[in-house]
Amino acid sequence: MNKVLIVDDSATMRKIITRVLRQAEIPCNTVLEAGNGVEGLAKLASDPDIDLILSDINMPEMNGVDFVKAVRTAHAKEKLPMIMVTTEGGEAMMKNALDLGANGYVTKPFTPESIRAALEAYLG
Amino acid sequence: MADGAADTRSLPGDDVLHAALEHAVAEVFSTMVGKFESLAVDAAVAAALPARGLSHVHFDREAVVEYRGVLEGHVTIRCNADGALDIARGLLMLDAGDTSLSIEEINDALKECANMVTGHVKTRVLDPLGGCQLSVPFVNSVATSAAAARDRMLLYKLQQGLISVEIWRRETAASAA
Repeated sequence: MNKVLIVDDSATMRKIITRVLRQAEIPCNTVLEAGNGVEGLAKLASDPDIDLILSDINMPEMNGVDFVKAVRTAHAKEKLPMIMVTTEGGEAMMKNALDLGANGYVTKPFTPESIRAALEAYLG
Repeated sequence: MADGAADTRSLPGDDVLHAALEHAVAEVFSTMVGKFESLAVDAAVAAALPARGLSHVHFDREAVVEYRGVLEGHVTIRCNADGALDIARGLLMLDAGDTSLSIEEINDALKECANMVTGHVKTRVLDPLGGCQLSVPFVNSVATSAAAARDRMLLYKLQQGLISVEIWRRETAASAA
């Protein structure tokens, strides 16, 4: 895996996830960041080589569910995995994201181990 | 539910919310913040502070997340400067001696911590009641002494600092019924 895009409105959470990826020894060379779904789509348009997306659900402007929906209009689930990282453990929200094409999810608080477990299948 | 039919579901009381909050703090802090020690719960808090030499501690900021749904209210995490630093360093996996964080980074970490704690309570207690929305977390400056501890305030000693965590509930039509 070469490039990971982290989409979260909290700069601190983006930093935390970046550090956790390192701690979990996830092999990625570049970590890109976006503050919401709209910015995420812009990053994806300008950098089509992104291998995996980690996205929050509860964000301003475009939330994670709408972001999944938008990404899936151009990128198949098998080609670009999307893992939701959120405090929203509610089943309805998660089911919605998964139905729209998210590949999996991690609930905050998380450990390097839980992040690694969620990404394991995509670390080719 | 049909119009006019009485909703016989019982709403969780303060005890349930308080227990969920305590569980949420333990989950978030043990997973992502690091060392934390529960000082006392409920009425014993105020009495415990002088004995531990902590009655002089002043909280200078608080992070708040509001919840709205069948039940409404807010969760507040108050801390002194060291407590806020402990939370930020813990979340960002920095060494205890790291002094590189800006005030914005520290406050942002505090907000994220409040968001995770409230999200945990939401999932366990508030969502099952039929939907709940959380506000964006925000930070206020406050000037409160730890000695002003009250019933149902959770108090924790972190690496170097002190924090309190509380859940408040507003009276709503559903909760008054």
